[in-house]
Amino acid sequence: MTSAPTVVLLGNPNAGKTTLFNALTGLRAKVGNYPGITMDVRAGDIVAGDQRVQVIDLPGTYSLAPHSDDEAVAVRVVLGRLAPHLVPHHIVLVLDATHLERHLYLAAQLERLQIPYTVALTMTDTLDAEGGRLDVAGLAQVLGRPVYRASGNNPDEVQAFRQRLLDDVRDEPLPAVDVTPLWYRALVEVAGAGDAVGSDRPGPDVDAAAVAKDAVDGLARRATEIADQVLTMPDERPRSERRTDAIDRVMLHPVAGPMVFVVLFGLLFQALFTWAAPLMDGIDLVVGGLGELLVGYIPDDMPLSKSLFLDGVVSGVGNVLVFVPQIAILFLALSLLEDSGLLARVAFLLDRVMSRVGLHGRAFVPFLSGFACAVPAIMATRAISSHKDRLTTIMVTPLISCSARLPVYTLIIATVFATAEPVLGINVGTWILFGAYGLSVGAALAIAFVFKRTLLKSPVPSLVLELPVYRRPRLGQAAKTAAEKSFAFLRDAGTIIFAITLVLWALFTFPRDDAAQAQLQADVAALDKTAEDAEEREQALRSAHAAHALDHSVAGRLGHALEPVLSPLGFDWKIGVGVIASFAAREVFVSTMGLVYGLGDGTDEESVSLKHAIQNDTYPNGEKVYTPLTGLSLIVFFVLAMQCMSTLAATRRETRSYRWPVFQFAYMTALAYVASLITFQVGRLLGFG
Amino acid sequence: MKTLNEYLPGQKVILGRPALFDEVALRLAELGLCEGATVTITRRGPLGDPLEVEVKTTRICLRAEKARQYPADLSPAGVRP
Ligand SMILES: Nc1nc2c(ncn2[C@@H]2O[C@H](COP(=O)(O)OP(=O)(O)O)[C@@H](O)[C@H]2O)c(=O)[nH]1
Repeated sequence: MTSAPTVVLLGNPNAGKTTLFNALTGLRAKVGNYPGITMDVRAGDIVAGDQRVQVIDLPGTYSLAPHSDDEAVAVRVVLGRLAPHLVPHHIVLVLDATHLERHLYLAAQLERLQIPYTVALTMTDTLDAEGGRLDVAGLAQVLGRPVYRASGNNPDEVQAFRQRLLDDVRDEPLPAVDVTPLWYRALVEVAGAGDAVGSDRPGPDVDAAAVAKDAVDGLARRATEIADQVLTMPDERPRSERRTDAIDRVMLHPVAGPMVFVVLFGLLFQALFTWAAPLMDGIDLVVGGLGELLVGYIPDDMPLSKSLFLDGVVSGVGNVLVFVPQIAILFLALSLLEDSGLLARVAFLLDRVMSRVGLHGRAFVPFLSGFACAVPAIMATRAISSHKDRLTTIMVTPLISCSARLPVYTLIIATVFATAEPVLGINVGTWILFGAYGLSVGAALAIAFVFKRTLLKSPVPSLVLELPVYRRPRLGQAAKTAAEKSFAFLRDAGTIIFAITLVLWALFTFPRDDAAQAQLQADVAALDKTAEDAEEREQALRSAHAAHALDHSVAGRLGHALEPVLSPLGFDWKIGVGVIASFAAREVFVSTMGLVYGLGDGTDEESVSLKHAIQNDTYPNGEKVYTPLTGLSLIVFFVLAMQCMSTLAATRRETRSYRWPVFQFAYMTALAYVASLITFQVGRLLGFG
Repeated sequence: MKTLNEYLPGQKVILGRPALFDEVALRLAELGLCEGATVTITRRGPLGDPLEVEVKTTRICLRAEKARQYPADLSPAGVRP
């Protein structure tokens, strides 16, 4: 990215890399995009005078033989094989002093590959408090490398370490690493992500497993040997471990554990579903209000510009910004859960269930968040380390019934099922809602099951999981993650969402019927302004015109053109228009139906006149447009269809490709069409409708 | 010989050589579950799977199916209180 020397932070997950990174770079960090990888790599600068050093926070890895895609990114950077502009000048190995022996395994690997590095010791505060004694100078001597204390939460240590970095870092990149030793190639081969590293495979006459086993045993012995020389721990069990034991007795208890997690995730869900709503309304209000204010500066005789500004630009900005509260809340919560060590426990508890589908326990979080909104949910798939599993999760998450579908369900239930007799003493609407959610979860799991075995075929992820000690998470760090995610979304997905909003505006605006527009002006002018119902009559004229203009527009014509395709599902052209409009966001379906029925702008699912209009709408032959069967078919369609440009923009961002969002759109639309077709046609055969 | 999967929570065992040294076994070894390591069985997940073990203050989960591939002997150090 820049020509400044690059320092990379390498270390096990939970070693304290991110904390140290934040402490070193302050608020200057940014999330970088690198070609060929689909994860965020955080980069920040240290600046002192005219010297500048770029620091990169690598994904955590236990080994230089990567097992997963995010480990492979870390390893490729360390080996200088990710990208030409990302060759390290300096490698910092971040070691958790309270789990020194295990973390030294990476040091042993670096040593054996002859890669130079500097050690940053974290968690020394905890080690000191627990009475452990670490001989820092001795460690430096045994390793033959510089070793510094650098706990991210100790400003003095961080300051000193920053200075060491500035002093030690050189201008030329590290020399290429020799990846030809057989032991390393065997490790890479067994670990299974060899292609990423780019080392030659061990030959067919080599027993890679045996060589790898000997290599690990040797490296582990070396780690033990080093730790034994420099670290003395008191005999009693460290306090942080005892605390972890105590918390786990509850969190991992077969009964209490799941209950605590239900409460915890219930809260998260509540936050996403309910508490985000006022913030989202607030954004709508502010953006809308500013729009109204600014539109005043456009002269009245330029209605097209006004419409472009209000319905295109302002609503585009609103469409992008509304996602920020949910993204921020989800990532705030997730990073608190992750840093505290709770998230790893979820995988432990849910492994039985998720592995049935073929997914990792971590896929649970996106699934849950999907009930609120697929956009943050898709962004939360980051935690899934296998690329194919992550793609599978991204592909099926939008099937989960999100909150934007609720107004559509509500409207349909309230109009076509309002008078239905309760079944088993329970309201039909409740049954239908229940069915819609059931269908959505069932479809998501079933499609995930299918994708995992076909298109994205990969082994069921092995649950090998470290359960880290519980640590008090830092709100500031979590807030920073939340802010970074929000900005990354605005930057990467925002432009797409904005652009599609403008396209949709154009579809619903052009071509214009100038004669009708002129007629409207004339009619409004001719109104008797003194009559007491003048305002209502003007409103009626405008609403009728809006309905006409919509019918006349490309979108209206598309709706008519789609009617032959949609009628086997029980839909008329108006529903077709609504379906097109709902691409902006599913709930727009409701207000679009208001427009189509000449009720003007801004109708919602509670609107009585809209319900009446829908209930009384008939085809030319007198048949009702909305039978209960049509309603059912429409709900099935909305459960399964990819009616959301923002989700596609999120998929595009997370997969860094256009292929996957296009595929997602295609398969979901096909699925929705077929399912609705079956619903309607079978229903008809059975004599409903 | 008994396998790691057959011991009870609280018991301390010494690991033998795994029947199959695959990707999972490599990862376990990298986390400290090497041949000869002393391992404490901490607990089992809901319905008996997965298994949580501890080796040198690192807690690791693995599935029962994998734990069955590790022969294990009761450690002379016996049972952790
Ligand atoms: N006591 C203590 N806690 C730390 C230190 N560094 C990080 N942590 C905590 O350890 C957890 C994991 O740290 P993080 O930086 O996210 O680790 P990463 O996974 O390597 O990026 C977080 O809860 C941090 O607050 C430290 O030096 N001392």
